[in-house]
Amino acid sequence: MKKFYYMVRMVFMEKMAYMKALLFDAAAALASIFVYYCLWRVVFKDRNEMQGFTMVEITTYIILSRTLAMQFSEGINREFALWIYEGSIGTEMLRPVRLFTNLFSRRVGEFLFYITFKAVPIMLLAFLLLGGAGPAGGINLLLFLLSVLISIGIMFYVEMLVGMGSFYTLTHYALGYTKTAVLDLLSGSVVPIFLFPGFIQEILTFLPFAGMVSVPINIFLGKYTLRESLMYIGIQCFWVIIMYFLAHGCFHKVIKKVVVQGG
Amino acid sequence: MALIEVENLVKEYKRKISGEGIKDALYHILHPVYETFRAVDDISFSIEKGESVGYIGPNGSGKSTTIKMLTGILTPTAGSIHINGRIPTKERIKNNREIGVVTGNRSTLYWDVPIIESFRLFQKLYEVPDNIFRKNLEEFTEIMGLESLLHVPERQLSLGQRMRCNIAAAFLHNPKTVYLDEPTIGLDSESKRRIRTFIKKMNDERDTTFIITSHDFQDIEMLCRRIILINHGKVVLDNDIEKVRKDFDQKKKVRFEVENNYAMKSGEHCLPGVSFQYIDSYLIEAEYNTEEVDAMTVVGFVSKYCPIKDITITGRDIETIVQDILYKRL
Amino acid sequence: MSRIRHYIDLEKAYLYLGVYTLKEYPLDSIIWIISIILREITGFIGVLLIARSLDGINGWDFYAICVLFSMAMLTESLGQSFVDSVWSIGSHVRKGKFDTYLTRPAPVLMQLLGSRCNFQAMSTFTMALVILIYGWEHIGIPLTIGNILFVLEFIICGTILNTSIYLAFNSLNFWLVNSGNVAELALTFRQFSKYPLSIFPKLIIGVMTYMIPFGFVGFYPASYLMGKTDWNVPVLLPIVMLIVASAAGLIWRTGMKGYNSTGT
Repeated sequence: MKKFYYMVRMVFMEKMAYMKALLFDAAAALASIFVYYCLWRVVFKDRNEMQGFTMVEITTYIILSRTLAMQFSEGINREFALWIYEGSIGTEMLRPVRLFTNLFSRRVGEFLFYITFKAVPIMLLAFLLLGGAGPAGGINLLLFLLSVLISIGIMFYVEMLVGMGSFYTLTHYALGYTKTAVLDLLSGSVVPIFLFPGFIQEILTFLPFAGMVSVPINIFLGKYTLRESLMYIGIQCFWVIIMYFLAHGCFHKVIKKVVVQGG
Repeated sequence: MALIEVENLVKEYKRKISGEGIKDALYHILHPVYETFRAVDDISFSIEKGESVGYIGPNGSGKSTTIKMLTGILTPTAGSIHINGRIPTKERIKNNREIGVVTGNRSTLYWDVPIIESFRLFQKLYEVPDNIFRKNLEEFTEIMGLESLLHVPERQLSLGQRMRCNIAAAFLHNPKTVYLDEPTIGLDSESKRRIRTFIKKMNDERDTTFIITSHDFQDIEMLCRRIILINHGKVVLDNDIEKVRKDFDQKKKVRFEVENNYAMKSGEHCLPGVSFQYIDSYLIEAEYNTEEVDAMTVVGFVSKYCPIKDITITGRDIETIVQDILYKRL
Repeated sequence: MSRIRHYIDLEKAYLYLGVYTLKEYPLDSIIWIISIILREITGFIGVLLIARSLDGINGWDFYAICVLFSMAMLTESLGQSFVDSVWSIGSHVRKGKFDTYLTRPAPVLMQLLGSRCNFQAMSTFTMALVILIYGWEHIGIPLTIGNILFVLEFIICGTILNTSIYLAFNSLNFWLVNSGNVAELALTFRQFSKYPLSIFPKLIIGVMTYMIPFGFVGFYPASYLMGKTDWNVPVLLPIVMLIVASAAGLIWRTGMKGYNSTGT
């Protein structure tokens, strides 16, 4: 546990070095929030609600979804792919912790940095500038936070898989871009899932990606009943377990290959 | 006029002093503090066509900065450089057609494509006629052993193989001058040997002018006829390598293997200009000054006391000489 | 004249290397193609979904959005295919890679732009063309020679304009080496260019028209095609392009001069 704490701390400190880059990230996130805000403002010019959402609620949706989606362009898949690409995975495997623990502690460190220096400041600023609805209730806020935390598990394993996949490609970042785009679209961060055609909506709700953006925000806004909320969180947990087995299964295959080919 | 003329060359850098920690860093963004640092301080030399010059000095002495100015990457703060009558930064493209640059640990080839494709691109880049390109390629392939490497992407090659390809690439367009910055750094002995043979051959047969910086004195001793030694941005020494050896290497060492050195050790026998050292009971080392005594006298002196089984005479290598010059041990 | 022929030869050699990597690593090419298409299409699907469930956005219906988006995509994908390496200025500065370019007998900018071609992006170009034709047909834009010439003009000038803006932003890396990638700011602004500019506040419209004229790589040309503007876009476009390209060239040159004297 102590080891884990120190590794998380180290990643957090590493990230601190990129403080200046933060400004550009924040500008990009705020701009994209603003773009979608303007789009939706036009939509709500001659109506008060859409699919049960008001403009204020949509504003919340935009702010939270764009901020949560900021994580999609990061994650340990970049680092992991680079390790495989450059062959430094050998050194990493020599460390006295399991590679999964090593990577997961990195992911947690990254998440903590993201929450403190990106998510909270950007959300606060955006809420101040654009308004937006607060959480529907205390329990909603708690369940929202829980759902976001669980989604880190799903993201972690998706990132692992993407990182391993990069072993088969020439450049180590192409798959990463694909991941960002796919997650953006399927998680409901570009547009709420209710805008998709009926049957796609059904599928998306039960895929692991909805848990990263759509589910927590709907819980936050009180769009789900308590029962529904718990059910969706249950689905998230289910996916974490599935992804766990998937990632571990693939991992052994890839590692064997890496060891044979020497990276 | 010489091929390379350098006069009173100066390069100053402005360095931003950045503080430690977030607080200092923020403060320095608002109040940047600069210090001037003179990397090259009034250097002059001239190099004739066909010369091979070792440009040496400790880390941070201004070697790379000078090379960067000679190749037109950096603009001098003051002073002048003329390469074949041209100022490299002013007539960059014309000058570049006649030079080759190799920097150890940095590749100029394309990572994902076979070496030969990179070479073909360079052929276009330097406008090398087909017949010359083919002839050079054939010759270089043979000397450097590139046969099996040409059709492999660079990323699959070892460091030594990569460097051999890079060096060959720098000669494809028959450059007049080639700048080699640490060409053998981190290489295995086979690659080093091939590279040295190749450079030597280019220098001998094609009269290509060389400036080489290296920390490996074997490179310098094998390839250069002249060395320019710089330290703290100034020229400390500029002379023929053999002459340097003669001028500074006045001390030589003779090592005697004897039955027993007790006879000499106990007697504390002296010979002017020679200092004796006794190691174990069967070795004697004598360091003597070549101006005061000659080797025969020393040998004769020792043999008076102890029967000699074996003798080795060693001069100091150029590396030790340079160390001595730099750190004023002479 | 022989200089120009030499540069054309050289450019051909660079393009050949691009084609070579494309066909030598097919799996990688496919992954690239998928990733490039997905990247472009996510935003498109978003705005399409909004436009679909409503009856258009600010007078821009589903098909008009198709035309707008596809035009922006045409220039972007062409840029990605041929001159994507403007985006490596930052890493080149950090790794000192311009040192090598400076010792070779060709303009540094040309060597930079030649250093990487992603012909995979031609797939998005094709896709954009299909979407453009689809939207064009449904709206019933007259298929006149004038309109076709205008689209050709737009593809050329728009790509140069788009690339010039990227070049200008990426050249800021000469001064801000350690501040993350400033050039990302260009992408931040470009977000606005994919949507009908008229939905944004006046300030943003002003910026996108006069300061960082991404408006001319999508919104204004599309408006012109669909008769939604009085501006004479065919005349304005090359003028804007020339101004921006010279400004970008100036920033690049200044940055390169600084690199020459500090060797950062």
